[in-house]
Amino acid sequence: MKRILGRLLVLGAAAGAVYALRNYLESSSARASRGDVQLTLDNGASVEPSSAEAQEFVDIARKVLEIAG
Amino acid sequence: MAEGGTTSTGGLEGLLENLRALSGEVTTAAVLSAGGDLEAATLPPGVDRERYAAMLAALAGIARRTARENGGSGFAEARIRAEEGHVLLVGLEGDRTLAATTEPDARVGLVLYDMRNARKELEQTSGNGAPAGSETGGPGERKQ
Repeated sequence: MKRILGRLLVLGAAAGAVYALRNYLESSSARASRGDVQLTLDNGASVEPSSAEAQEFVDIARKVLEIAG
Repeated sequence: MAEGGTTSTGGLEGLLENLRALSGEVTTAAVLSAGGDLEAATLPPGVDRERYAAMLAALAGIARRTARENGGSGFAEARIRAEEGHVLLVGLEGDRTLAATTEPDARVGLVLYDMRNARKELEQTSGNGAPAGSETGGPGERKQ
């Protein structure tokens, strides 16, 4: 009985680790990287937003593309 | 409501259709008013227009905010790349916005070129479809 419980515990820990790893990989693949967002201002200047702003752009763009099918 | 293809009425929809015909890589195209309302759009059947417009308006809003933070009064164009494709924005007069979506492997520079060419005619055409100036016959041919 003790052995079975021990194995279940190990199995649960392994499943948890796999789940955490999968979430991490999914979130990192959706993260905005350099060059994903390029903005040209009306005065002709080119701007690359900060990573937080770029992430905001990409998150909304993904929703637009998802809705647009 | 329209089942698909173009929505809204008048010259704007014709111009958007011309843009799509010219740039085969454009999957959807739309013109948003300064208030974020959808003036016209070419959307596939079943697309939730309200959500689509709201998200595009949010993008245009962030682009304007970022432009102001960086010393501009607005944005001329914005390109956003995601895994699912690109969203391209071109600023029109009066804080209106021309938006387009493309597939991930689209030639974005070419699409933006066509959007820039369509800008003048779109600016001359109001949301109710009445041309506000010269005759409108579409963005015309691509000049290479």
